[in-house]
Amino acid sequence: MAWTRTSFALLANGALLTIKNLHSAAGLWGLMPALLAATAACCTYMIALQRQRTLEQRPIPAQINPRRQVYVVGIAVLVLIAVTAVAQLL
Amino acid sequence: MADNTTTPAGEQGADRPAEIEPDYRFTLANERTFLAWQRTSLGLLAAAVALVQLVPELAVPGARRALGVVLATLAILTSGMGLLRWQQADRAMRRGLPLPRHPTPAYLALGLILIGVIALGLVIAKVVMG
Repeated sequence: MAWTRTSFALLANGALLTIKNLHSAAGLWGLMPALLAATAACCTYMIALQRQRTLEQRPIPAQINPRRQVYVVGIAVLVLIAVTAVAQLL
Repeated sequence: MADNTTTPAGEQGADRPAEIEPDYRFTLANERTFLAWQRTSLGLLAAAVALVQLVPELAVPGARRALGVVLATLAILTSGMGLLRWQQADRAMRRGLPLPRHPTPAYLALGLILIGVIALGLVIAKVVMG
C-alpha cells in the first residue's frame, strides 16, 4: 500500500505539472517534468506489485530488503524535484 | 564466536561488526518510513508548483517564486534525508547498532513554520494594501 500511495503521489504531481503546460508554448521541455513524474509513477507502481508478490510468498523469503527499489525511487524523486525546479520555478 | 561472522579465522575484535538479516517486520517498517518521507517531499514539490502556477501575485513582487524555490529546496532536502535515513537505519539494524538519531523532522517543521509565517504575512499585506 505504501508503494501504491507513493506512485499516486507521483501521478498527482504529474497532473499538477500538466495543468498549466498543456496550453502553453513551452513545448516538450515544458512537459518534461510531467512525463518524468508519470514515468516514475509507473515504475513505482510496478515495484508495488513486485513487493506485493514477494510478501505474499509463504514462507516469506529470508532476504526481502528492497535496496535496489529504494535507490531507484529515491533517485527518481530527487531528479523529478530538480527538473521541476529548473523548468517551473527558475 | 558468532556463526555468521564475516571476519577471517583467528582475528578477534574485528573493526566491522558482523551483519545479520533483521526481522522482516523491521525491514518493512524502515521501507514504509522511507516512502513516507518521499511522499512528504512530493507534497512540498506540489505546493511549490501550485504556488507559482496557480496563486495570483502577492504583495511583494517575486515573493511567490522565492517561496516556491524555498519549498522546492525543502523538498530536495526531505527526499535526500529520507534516503539517507533509510540507508543508515538498514545498516544499523544489520549490525546490531543503535538506530541513528535524525534532527530532520525538527528541521522540516521549522522550515514549514517559517514558510507559513512568511506566506501569512504576504497575504495580510496584500489584503491591507488592496
